[in-house]
Amino acid sequence: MSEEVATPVAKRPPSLRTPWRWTVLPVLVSVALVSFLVAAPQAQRGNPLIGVAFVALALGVTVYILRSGRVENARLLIFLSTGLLFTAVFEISNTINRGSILLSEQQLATVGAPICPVTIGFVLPPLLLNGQMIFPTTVQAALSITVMWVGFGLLLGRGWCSWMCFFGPMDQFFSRLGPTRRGGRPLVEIPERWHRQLRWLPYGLLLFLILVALVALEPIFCAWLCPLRLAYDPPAVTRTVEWLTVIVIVTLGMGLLVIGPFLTKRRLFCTYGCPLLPLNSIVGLLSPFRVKVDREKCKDCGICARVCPNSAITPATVAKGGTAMECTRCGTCMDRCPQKAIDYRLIGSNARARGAFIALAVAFSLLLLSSYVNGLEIYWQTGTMPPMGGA
Amino acid sequence: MHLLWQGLLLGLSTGLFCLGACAPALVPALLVGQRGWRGSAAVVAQVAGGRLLAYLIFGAAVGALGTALDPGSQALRRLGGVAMLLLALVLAAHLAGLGPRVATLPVCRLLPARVFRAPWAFGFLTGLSVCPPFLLALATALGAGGPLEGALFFAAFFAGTALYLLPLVPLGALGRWEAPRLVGRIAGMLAAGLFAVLGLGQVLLA
Repeated sequence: MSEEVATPVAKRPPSLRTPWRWTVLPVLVSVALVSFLVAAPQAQRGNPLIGVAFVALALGVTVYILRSGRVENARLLIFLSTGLLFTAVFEISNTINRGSILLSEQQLATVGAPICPVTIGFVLPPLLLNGQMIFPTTVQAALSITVMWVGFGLLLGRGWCSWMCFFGPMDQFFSRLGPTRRGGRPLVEIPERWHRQLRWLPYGLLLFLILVALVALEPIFCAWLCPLRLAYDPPAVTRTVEWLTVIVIVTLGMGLLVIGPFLTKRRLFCTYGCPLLPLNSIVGLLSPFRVKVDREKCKDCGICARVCPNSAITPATVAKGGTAMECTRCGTCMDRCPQKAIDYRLIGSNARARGAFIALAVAFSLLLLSSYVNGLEIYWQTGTMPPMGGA
Repeated sequence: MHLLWQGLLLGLSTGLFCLGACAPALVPALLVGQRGWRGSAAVVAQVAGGRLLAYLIFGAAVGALGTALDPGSQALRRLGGVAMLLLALVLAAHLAGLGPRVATLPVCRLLPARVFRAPWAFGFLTGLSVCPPFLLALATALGAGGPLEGALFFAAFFAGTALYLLPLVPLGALGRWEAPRLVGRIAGMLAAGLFAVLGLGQVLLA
């Protein structure tokens, strides 16, 4: 009688790879969306080959993310490219239309400034309540950027902040660049008890900015505090008060966008300083997508909390099977989770929504990217570029 | 009677602006306390009481001074600046829960310790903060004819503006949850910083 020797069955490592049969539909959605939007009448100014390239990119990126089960690398490629190209278009447009990348008080009074989505929270209340436009741009520009942001916010929630926002790439870049100590820890760690308080900073900031906007009818964040002005619309310095503004902007900008993210490996501006965060988080509650943790697979190793660039997943939220409402759906935690216990799910159910989310996020982020490529193409061909955001 | 009516109308017509001018201090201060509707209403009443006291004192003083005081005078603007600085200090101390500790600082011994945690102190100091409706009231009270008339005019002005404080009551009730309390504390700290900068600017550049 021969004894059967039990051979150990090789256990496949957990994976978030999507089978081919579930990949086809999201890829079709992504490709169809990009084809439709890139071919829209207002986008038909450029070389059709660029449109074809974007459709191919949509196909490639969607297939790569779904088949590899990894979100982060492809997302970073699109996101950082968006930041880079947006910056190029912004600065070229200002140089052509304003004569300088610097924003002087005189230009502010005569030409205005391009509106940005960060201002929505405190520009809209005085506009809706008093009919006062406190930002030096047109009402149409403010409303159009609001409609665009609401649309994406309802669809992707705070996914806007990791997939589409053209300002987000700056602290994302430096947070990725930051070195790590042994165990993958950043040089400077933000203790969780600090984060529990600091997390409310953008909410307090927005409340303050709304109150001041209603009283003083001034966008003081844009005038005095916005760290993004380190790169976008830095003030032209001719008076003492402008020097003071520059000191504040450079200090906050270096702290929240460059040095801070580098040391902490956290997107500090996007997590603790962006006045759009509260609105994004609240509107995001209506988004159909959530990032959820499968408690049966989770071993509570804490890696997700350590790598989340937005500190939106903590041991406390993992215990509840999800993330904080500030989660930007960037996918970092999913990629790094050894148990592959974290994934995109549909709201109110446990149904997997990876294909649907990725298809929409890739399509719309590529659409935004294509608009900047379009802008550069126009500049290349004609030497001109339309002014940005209603300026 | 005409003076009272005039004060009430001025208060009613400019009260929304008054609420706006005081909101950056009042809203966060209301949010930080753990209190229900009744507690919140009591705080709003105390704030209103402090403001009424400031108005009565100021109205009487202005009525007595008559035309000797110019509404656009340097001294008045400096007084407004000092009031803003004090408001910033009281607000910051209240929000940081440092009332008793701040009150022991030499410069703060001029005021009683309870000022740093009392809602009526906000009310009093917001009452002295110079905002456009306040200047309008001041310009009218200068010609009131005496301290009693000035005080009555400002009392009526207060009655008109106080109506606009009522919407703040539900906000205070939000303070029973931790998140709104933290949000209020942060917004209040930023507001304290803004009042400090504005007050300093008014004192130095008046």
